[in-house]
Amino acid sequence: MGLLALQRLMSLQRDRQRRQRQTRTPILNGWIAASSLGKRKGSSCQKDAHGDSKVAKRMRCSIPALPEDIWRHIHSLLPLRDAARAACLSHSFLRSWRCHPNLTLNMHVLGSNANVPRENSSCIIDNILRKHSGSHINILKLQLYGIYDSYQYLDSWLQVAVTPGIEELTIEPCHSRVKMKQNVPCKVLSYGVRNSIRCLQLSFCAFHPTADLGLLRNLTSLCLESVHILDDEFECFLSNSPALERLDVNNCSEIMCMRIPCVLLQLHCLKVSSCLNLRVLESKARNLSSFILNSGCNVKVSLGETLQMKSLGMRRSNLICYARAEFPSNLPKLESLCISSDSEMVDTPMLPSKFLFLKHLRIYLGWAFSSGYDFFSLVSFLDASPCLENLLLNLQVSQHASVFDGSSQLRQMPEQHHGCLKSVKFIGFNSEKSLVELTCYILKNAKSLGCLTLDTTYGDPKCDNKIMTGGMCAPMNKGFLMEARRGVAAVRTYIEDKVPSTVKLTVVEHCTRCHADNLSE
Amino acid sequence: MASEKKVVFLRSSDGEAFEVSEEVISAASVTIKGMIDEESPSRADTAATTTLAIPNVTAATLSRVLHYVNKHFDAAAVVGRPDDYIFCAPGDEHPLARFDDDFVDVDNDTLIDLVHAAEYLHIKKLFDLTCKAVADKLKGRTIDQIRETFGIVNDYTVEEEVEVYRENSWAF
Repeated sequence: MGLLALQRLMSLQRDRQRRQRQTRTPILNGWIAASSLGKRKGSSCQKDAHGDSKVAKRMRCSIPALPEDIWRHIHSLLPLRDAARAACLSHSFLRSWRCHPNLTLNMHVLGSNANVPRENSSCIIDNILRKHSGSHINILKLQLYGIYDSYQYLDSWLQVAVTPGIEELTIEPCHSRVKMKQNVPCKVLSYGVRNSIRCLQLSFCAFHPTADLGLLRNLTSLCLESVHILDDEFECFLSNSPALERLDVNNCSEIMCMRIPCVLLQLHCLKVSSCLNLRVLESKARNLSSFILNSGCNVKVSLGETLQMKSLGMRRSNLICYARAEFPSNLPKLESLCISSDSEMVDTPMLPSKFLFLKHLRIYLGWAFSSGYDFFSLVSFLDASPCLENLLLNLQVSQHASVFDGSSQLRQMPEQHHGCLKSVKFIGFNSEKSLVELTCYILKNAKSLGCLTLDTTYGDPKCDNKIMTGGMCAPMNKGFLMEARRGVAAVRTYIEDKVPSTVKLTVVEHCTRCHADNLSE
Repeated sequence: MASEKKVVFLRSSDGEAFEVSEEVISAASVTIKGMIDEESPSRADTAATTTLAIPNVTAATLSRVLHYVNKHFDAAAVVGRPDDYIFCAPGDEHPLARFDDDFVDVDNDTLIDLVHAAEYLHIKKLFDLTCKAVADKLKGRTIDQIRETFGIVNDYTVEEEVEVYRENSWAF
């Protein structure tokens, strides 16, 4: 009995091996077997048969075949879930999955399957990374928010997966349940990694590079978000990154004095935002062409050489007047300017200096903006910018002197020609007299104007955009709502009849459905 | 008109010849540029046009490839025909984006032939476009659908298959 069973088992195995040999033979050439004969239409068989190359021979009278390296390339283009699923197709696809060069691992990618409990995310990541060890990971993004147990594994994952040849690395440890920010050890950046890495993004972690770290020759982009890093560590890391082109520092509150060393000759884009304790920003990088600073109003900024600057965004008090007076000579190549000011001591003066290349101007005025500012004085910027195409004025400002109060006439300026201005948008438009005067001036003098948008709300998406708003308009306080209404009235009374037929006027009003209660009071 | 433009003839594997501007095809295909460069010393003093054999590509595929090449690499055609721009939606990044979408909206056999041709002729933009199109066809399909569509044979043993499904179960 035992012998019979054994024989039977052996014969079954032989059968099976034979079957496997049969199916495997054609695969030796590539990934595709000529199993589905006749699937391809006769005509295509004939036309392929004329070729005499290996590829054509393999394709002859078969379903279309692609060599393994092309399939591998196609496989690498798939999103992670699809790529993992495809591993179940065949051995070749499994091999290809094992060296999938782009691993973006986060809850959304791993957890959208209801069958997989969230606690398993760490196990899945661990499994993927270990099975990929030894292969060349080109892009690794470990975004571990919401994966609460991942902090135990992070170090070992980095050890396994961050290997020489990596070009893009994003590390975002889970940050909500661990009080201390998790440290990303410097040894992750080994010699080989330092040579290959191009983009590094660290979020919600501590990072303490030391002076002996060594050069990161190819690092062109660095982004630090909520990273615990000290002044000298930051400066030291930058000194070791001579190829840096883009630097983005966001919400790093330990940085008080940010020094950008002069070795960063390639650095052209510098963005610093929400670094609450920043007091000094000193850049010696000579080729900055884009600079954005949005970090409180008390930062002492010194940019050294700024003649190449094309795009600038800043926020501080009295910036409008300062920018008008100083920027034309300090930043002569400016093409795009975004200034935000909470208060202006004086109106903007008319000056002879010009912004010869300025195309885009955005001005934001905050809540605390000094009432009594003369918006009509912004004509100074129009006058100085012969190439200006777009103007955006965003004011969350209480109205001071409505065009409906008092009887004085609207002021006028001598006629000017602003031949390039195409698009003007005011957000928070109200019935402030100087604002109405500015609008009328633009309508009269900007002969190429194509569209004028007067938005009397905060400029937020409205309730009809369900995805952005959840079907509700942003709440507006009663004072602002009243001013918004008067703003619309001002448009009807003073502006509408001055709009030439070539200009498309759009007036954005508050939504009467979401704000009906407020108004009826 | 500009009559000075040099042309070459490309002969497909099934013997059909196609005329194409030498400048345009050289800009597009590294392979053909290499062939032309090799030929050029011998034809420097003759006015005869060159015919190049493209043994791996059929007439049907080659004519599609040349359609693509003329759209993408003939600067005069791109600039001179504004109707291409009229048809693109306002959000389109590239004026030929819609042309590209239509171009790869073909059956699998044709698409695979185009991948082969793009690889053989070394036309990187076309290779990227067609590989991306194949990848899009794999997205969201079941394993069985992909196997059937692209004729991929399951070479796993039952045990192996169970194991690989278990390992990647999170992705299903």
